[in-house]
Amino acid sequence: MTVDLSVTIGNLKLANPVMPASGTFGYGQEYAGLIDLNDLGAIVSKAVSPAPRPGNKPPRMVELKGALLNSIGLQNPGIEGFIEKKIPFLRQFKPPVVVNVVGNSIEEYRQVVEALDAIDRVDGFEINLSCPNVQKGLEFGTTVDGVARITRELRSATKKDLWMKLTPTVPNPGDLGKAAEGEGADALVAINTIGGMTIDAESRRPVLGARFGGVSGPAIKAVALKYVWLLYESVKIPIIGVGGIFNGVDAMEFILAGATAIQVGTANFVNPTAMPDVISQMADWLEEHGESTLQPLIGEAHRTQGAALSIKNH
Amino acid sequence: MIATEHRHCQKNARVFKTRVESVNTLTDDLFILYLSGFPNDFDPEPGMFLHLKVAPDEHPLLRRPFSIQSYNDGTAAILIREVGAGSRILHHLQPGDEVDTLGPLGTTFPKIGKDDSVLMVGGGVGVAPLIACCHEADAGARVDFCFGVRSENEVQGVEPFMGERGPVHIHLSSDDGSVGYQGFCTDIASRLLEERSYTKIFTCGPWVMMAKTARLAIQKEIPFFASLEVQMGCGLGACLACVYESTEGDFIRSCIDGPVVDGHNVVWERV
Ligand SMILES: Cc1cc2nc3c(=O)[nH]c(=O)nc-3n(C[C@H](O)[C@H](O)[C@H](O)COP(=O)(O)OP(=O)(O)OC[C@H]3O[C@@H](n4cnc5c(N)ncnc54)[C@H](O)[C@@H]3O)c2cc1C
Ligand SMILES: Cc1cc2nc3c(=O)[nH]c(=O)nc-3n(C[C@H](O)[C@H](O)[C@H](O)COP(=O)(O)O)c2cc1C
Ligand code: FES
Repeated sequence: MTVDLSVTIGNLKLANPVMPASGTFGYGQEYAGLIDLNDLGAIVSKAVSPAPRPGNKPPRMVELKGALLNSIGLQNPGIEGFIEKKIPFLRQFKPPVVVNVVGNSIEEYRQVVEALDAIDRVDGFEINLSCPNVQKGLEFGTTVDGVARITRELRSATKKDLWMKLTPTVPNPGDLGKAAEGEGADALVAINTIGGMTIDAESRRPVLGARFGGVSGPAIKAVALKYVWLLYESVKIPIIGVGGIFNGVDAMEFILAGATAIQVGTANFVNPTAMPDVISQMADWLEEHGESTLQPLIGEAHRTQGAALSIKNH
Repeated sequence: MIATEHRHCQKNARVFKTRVESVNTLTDDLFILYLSGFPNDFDPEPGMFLHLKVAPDEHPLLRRPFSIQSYNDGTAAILIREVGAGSRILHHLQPGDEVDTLGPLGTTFPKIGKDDSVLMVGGGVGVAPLIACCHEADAGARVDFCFGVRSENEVQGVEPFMGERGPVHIHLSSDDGSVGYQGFCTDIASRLLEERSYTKIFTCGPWVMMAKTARLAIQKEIPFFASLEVQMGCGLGACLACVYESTEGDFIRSCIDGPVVDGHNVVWERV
């Protein structure tokens, strides 16, 4: 039996549901010698802001137990640098290209979307509503009104696909999701890193140069799964699940919780071939479980009653 | 190659399984790991490193970077100091164990030509990439190698790697005075710089030692190359975790535009 992993997100048809989480795959070039970018479902870029950003002072990354803490600070070449240096490379590949957008104000987000709307190779935008490393990003991401407003503004700036990437630390994910859906978002992405810090007891000071950072990796998978679950109960538009996905079974858990597609982040650092590996492991999973497509499995855990009889892989 | 323009990707890097040939313990916390089973075309240059996944599961999570000290007949030697969980796991590997390996990564030291006179300043495991350079030096070159250790037993393990000394003159110093000069290897370097002229200075080791070497190189206006040991994530240039601050005010990735960088371009003073 051959399995079909293709999924549709808004106007984009993806050959499979696996794509990089923004910021963990650069602009694709860095991994091009190790994997074939044409195998991916989509290519999601690192953040782009209107002007170049130098990023935060090092140290920028610390390993925790089962997790990473990072404070890269959205270092990026800005709109011009992106168009000049990154687009020519991305042009060579088949999968849709989705640009992660960041700004200090709604106006700045709009500037990026408008500037890149004209570039044919850009197929959609992923709006980073939550970067724990950038203070002013927060207010758009944590209130229903804020999410509605920024979605509305950006919707009027582009006809291309608009994905809203939500903040993890809010009490009401479903309400935020609904606000974005109501204003015309094509998909929701959840979750971004969770704010945190670490202190070196010997030197009695924070370890990260920026003091605070974002937690990612295996330790946040449970948080991300619940978020996806709650969004699935609230919205009809596709959800893209992200957080601690390291293998095909992790990915299937997100599909069963309600995700239509998934992103691989921290795992790319550990295993450069993580994404092609996840794709083939998902295909194996479907085959082993007698399934031929993903569609009926999306959100299936909501439809099965009670708790699992056997608990594996936990 | 020293990157003048930032690189897009780690050329020739691949992921593969290597096999532990042996683990040779030198002191309580210092050992040499011998790995074989590299791809046929694996051809690292002095200064390049391997990014090792030390455990098959997610503990520890990230890969760990280590310089290639030598690569001969398909076997790589890596000089390692046990400082934490990852290096401890490597110390306890058994012959035949497999290691998930990513490499070769990074930039290299410039080749030492026959007309070169190079001053090297290395401390502890930082001698590894410098030793790799000595192996590749052209006949006729001169190398003064200032090598700082904690105490004598650290030297014995490393000496065989100096191979035929050829053009290499070793100047030892130790923290406890058990071998060579008691004090810093940078003191010796400073004295040598008064006595001779050098075409290049290479350094690798603790940051403070490299920063002192940098001051000497700046004073004497000598081309200066340093191998930086900055904490890394991906090793591929994607995560931007491993940056150092350049004198132009940029943050530069030490995994791909380094680890060997133009030392005159690094902000050495740290607050
Ligand atoms: C390009 C490069 C080449 C290197 N070559 C060698 C080598 O040839 N031999 C060798 O023994 N070590 C080398 N290192 C350092 C080595 O990578 C670290 O010692 C190792 O990652 C520590 O892992 P751990 O799990 O044992 O310790 P951890 O538990 O991760 O750390 C223990 C302690 O070591 C410090 N540390 C961790 N990573 C680094 C790092 N990258 N540089 C400096 N200090 C660090 C931590 O701050 C902490 O204090 C190199 C590093 C780089 C970037
Ligand atoms: C080093 C690093 C950089 C990141 N940069 C961005 C970014 O630029 N924009 C963004 O929306 N998310 C960024 N993220 C968050 C990831 O896209 C992802 O949401 C998060 O890491 C959780 O997934 P994971 O557990 O699979 O890593 C970054 C994460 C890491 C670890
Ligand atoms: S370690 Fe990821 S960019 Fe250098």
